[in-house]
Amino acid sequence: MNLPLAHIPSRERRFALSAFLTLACLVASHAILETARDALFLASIPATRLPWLYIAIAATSVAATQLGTRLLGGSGARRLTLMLATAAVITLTLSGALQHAPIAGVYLLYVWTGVQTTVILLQLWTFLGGLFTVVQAKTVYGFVGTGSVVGAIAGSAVARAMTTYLPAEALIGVAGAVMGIAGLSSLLLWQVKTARPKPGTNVHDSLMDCARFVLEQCYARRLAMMVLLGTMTITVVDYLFKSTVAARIPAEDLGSFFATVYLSLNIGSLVVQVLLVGWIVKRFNLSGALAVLPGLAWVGGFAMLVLPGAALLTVALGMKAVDGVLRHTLHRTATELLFVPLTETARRRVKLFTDLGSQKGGQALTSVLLLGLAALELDALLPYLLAGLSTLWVMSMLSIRLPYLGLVRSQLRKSTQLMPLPELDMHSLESMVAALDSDVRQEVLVAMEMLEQENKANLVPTLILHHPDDAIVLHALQMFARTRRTQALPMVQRVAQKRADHVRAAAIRCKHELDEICSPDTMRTDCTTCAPAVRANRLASLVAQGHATDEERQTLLTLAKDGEQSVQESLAQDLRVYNGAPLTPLVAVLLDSPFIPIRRHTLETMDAKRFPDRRPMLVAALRDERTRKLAQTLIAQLDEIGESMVREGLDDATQAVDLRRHLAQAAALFEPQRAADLLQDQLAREEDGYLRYWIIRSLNRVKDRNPKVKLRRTQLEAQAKRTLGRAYRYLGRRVILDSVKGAARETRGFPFILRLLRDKERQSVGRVFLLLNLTQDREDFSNLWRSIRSEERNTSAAGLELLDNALSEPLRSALRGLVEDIPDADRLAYGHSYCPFRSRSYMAVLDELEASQSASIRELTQYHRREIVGVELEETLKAPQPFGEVARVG
Amino acid sequence: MLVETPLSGVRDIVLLLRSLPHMEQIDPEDITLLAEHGVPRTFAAGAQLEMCQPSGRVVHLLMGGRIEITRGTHREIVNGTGGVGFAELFADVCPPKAVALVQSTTLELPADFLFRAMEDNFSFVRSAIGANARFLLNLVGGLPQLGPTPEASLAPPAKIGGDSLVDRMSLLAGSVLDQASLDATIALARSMQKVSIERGETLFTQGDASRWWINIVSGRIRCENEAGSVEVADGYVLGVLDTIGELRRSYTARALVDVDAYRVDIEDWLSVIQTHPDLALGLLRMTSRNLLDATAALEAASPIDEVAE
Repeated sequence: MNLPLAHIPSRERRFALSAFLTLACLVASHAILETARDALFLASIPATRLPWLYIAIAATSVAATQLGTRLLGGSGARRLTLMLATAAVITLTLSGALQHAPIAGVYLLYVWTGVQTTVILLQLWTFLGGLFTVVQAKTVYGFVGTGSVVGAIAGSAVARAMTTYLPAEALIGVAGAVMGIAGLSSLLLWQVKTARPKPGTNVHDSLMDCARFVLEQCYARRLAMMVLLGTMTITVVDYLFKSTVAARIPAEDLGSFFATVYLSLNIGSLVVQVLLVGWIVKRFNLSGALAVLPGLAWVGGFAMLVLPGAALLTVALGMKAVDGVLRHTLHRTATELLFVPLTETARRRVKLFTDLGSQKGGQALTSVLLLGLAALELDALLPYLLAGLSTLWVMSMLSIRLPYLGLVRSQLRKSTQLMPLPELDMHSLESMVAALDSDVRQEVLVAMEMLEQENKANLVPTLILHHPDDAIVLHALQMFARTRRTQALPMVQRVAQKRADHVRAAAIRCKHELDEICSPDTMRTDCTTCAPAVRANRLASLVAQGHATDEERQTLLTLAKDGEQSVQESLAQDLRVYNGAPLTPLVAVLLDSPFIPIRRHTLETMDAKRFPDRRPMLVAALRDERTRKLAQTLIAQLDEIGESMVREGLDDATQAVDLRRHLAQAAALFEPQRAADLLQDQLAREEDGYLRYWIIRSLNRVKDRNPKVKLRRTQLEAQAKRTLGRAYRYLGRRVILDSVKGAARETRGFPFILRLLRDKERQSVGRVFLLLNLTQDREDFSNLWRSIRSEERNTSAAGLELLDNALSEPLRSALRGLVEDIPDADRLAYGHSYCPFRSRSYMAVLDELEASQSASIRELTQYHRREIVGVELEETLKAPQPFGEVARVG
Repeated sequence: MLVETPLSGVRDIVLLLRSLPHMEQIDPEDITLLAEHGVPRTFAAGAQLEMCQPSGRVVHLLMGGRIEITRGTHREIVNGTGGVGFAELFADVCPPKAVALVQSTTLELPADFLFRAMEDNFSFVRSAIGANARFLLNLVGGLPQLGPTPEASLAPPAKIGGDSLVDRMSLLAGSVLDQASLDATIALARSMQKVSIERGETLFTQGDASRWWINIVSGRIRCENEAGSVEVADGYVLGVLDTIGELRRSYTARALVDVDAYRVDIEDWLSVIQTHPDLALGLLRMTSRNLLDATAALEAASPIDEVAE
């Protein structure tokens, strides 16, 4: 049973109630007027004139809406009240006019009945569309839509009662009075604060402006086409129904006949609205809700084609019943939801166009077709027309889903994923070369670096070695060595003789790399005569070549350990140049340097060729926050060796959990398929929740880098389900603990346990989203999770809407139960498929927590258990907590 | 300056960003991310910087020029390079009014991008928190501040009885850690080392590298430098700003009586905030608010601050 008002948040309840009353009175007035109209019209005028009236209604509605918009200014709510009051006055005037000019009055009445409802309903729904988000609308629209049905039933019941004793003309005055009450009900909506239009925003759009807007927007075009085809189908159904009734029912009985039929249809509508609309809209995706009426119309259209002519009346009545029961309930509610993701301006324009252009245009177009068929005496083709139109309507309905989701998705934020850099253009090249002349050191350094990255290092002149800034000369020397600029050797030689100690060392290193290698004797001479950086360089070279004595080795290590930063820096660079293995002790010392750049440079200089067994060093670098990223990159470059290193590290439960986490992150940098296989293997056997989380995150990074990587979906889906169950388990335990009263709540450990369980539940939900991101290609679930948590209500609502459309049951309900803003105890019902809730005692929950895999939970629980020692207290806590039956949802 | 050349592509922006001194700590790939999502803007002298675009709030990274920022009646001039509106964004308060004093070039960054980038890219958060800490220290001076100070607000005064996990967590309750998952508190509580400092012992000397801070459980410590001396006692968090700002100690700290404290090493702290982005953002928010408060407090003394190039 759907009790919509109870589900509406209190802050929105008052406005929803006001909208409900306004709509109920409006529709009641329409139902009364409609009965009078149809009875009076079909009693005195042939049904074949109906298409002309459809055209007249369409034209008048367009004109009235445009005129009403211009004349009745003010805010949405005020304009609505003015429209309702004007409609009441006109209806009452018509009631009097009918006595003086019966035939003309009936024509006027027919047209007016169609026009007033179109214009006012357009205003009301546009106004409501601006008040609520997609998610709120799903709840509120269901309730407000019920007003339409209640009003229709009340109106047709009044009409049915009155037609028993009074002529149909008497209904018109009553309809005018009810319309006046609708106007009074709308006064409450004046208090709603809607966003003021931005300066320069035109809130009075012409139909042509709207048409242009709709034509430019793909989604709006599809929406308009869907409404157009729906209106055409319904118009044909209406024509078939009324012409059949006019032929079969005596004129004097038409009033009570229509009152009875409309009353029945409206009662059917109420049943659908109360029992089905809320459930269908929330339970199925929007396409499902939208497809019901067109689907049934399609079935009816084809029934007309295949069934014998005698059954035509039955089918026509059946289709009218479907239309009458569903159009203003389920279909209207679902269609209105399609407008909610549009911006306020877009919604106003598209709504105006669909209500006037598509609906009235569709009516007029169908009328022309009907008149054409009648003129050519081709009435037998009507079933074909109906079948064709309903088929197109179904197709248009199905095609709206993807653009709708695209629109909702566009409300979410853009990804921050790194894009590849664009091709280097001449302008950028000029900027970089120009930067070489800059007075600012950093600009010159970056320009050199980027030129080298772009394979344009040859544009850096060798004369840069004359630069007064040592840092720039150092960088240039390294770059010339890397790019093998042998023509720079004469300049390098000058630098090796005349600059500061560490620059000289760099120049010697550069010469070495460019194949100018000194003899051991020259090196030893330099060791005794030169400053520390050059001395260190010479010693490193001797050690690397195997010519060093023990004393020289020791001196080198002392220089590395106690030398100034520039000496250590120089040695770190030496590692890149000289043979690695004999220099391994030097690496260990430099990786311990207090200076971060030296630790980084040391790591950077280590490649597999020079340092075959560098695993311990890389592991050490992983522990250091400043060198971690680099170490992870280096591990990934080791391929098979790196893979075995990561596998062994992850499997080794004796290792610190943070180190294992860093290894999991390093795994994400392997070649994508290798990384995915490794991480999925590990995920399957990892028992530590914290590590599972980082493995899942790493897998997401792998998928981000290569969306086509092959993942084991079955395994990951099973993992997602287990994690979802875990979230509900945490929730259930927390709900039981939180329901306790008395001394246990006052302990120090209690709030910590509650908070930890809540955090664990949230973490589990986050993990489910990450896992879904791996198993589902159509939606970015990590983005959805971020959006759902957003404090910005439209973003959060858009996230929930996409979630609804991306998942199927029971996963959808279970996940919604964890992320929606509802009381904790109510959530439990949604998780039944994954972790059925069972009521148990406080102490039983503590027992479970003490057996948890989480050391934090265990430790806090043990602490809390010690806090609550005391027979009286414990006895109370051993009793099961008083929980009612948790109904299954989802 | 590089900005004299019009910025036409991501690569130009990367080049420029990498040449800015305060970008040195940011990983190269993260700088590229900034460049991709930033929009270069040039403002003529007298033009006001837009801090809110139709798509949402923005901040500006000044890459060349001179901007006057007005907060209430307080004015500050950012000269050459620097951020405009970052502190207000992180502190979740209204953006300031910013006007270009000469033709200025900025990189306009959407706020939502910045927050998302910070969740995924630790170097942004680390450098932003570090910058805030350095600015704060610059504003409040070298010696510890007594009373409700930025340092103290990182953890409130608390007396603890034992040394259980809950005792340690209680010590941290009420601090910025409350804004993050409890796992962060637990991780930090576990990594804290209980230390006892004897009367007369020197904790650190002015000029030492700052690699840790302490939560004083009991005792009294004198902090002194050339500007004077102050004494701090139970509940005070000593040495946190210079540690997270990666500065050297600006004073010498000596125990006046026997001191019991918990020591937090910067590596452990970084590891915790890297694992818990919500904590990192909470810390950023808190230091930004402290920075704005400290700036406001200086308002009367100095109506215009100039941020050096």
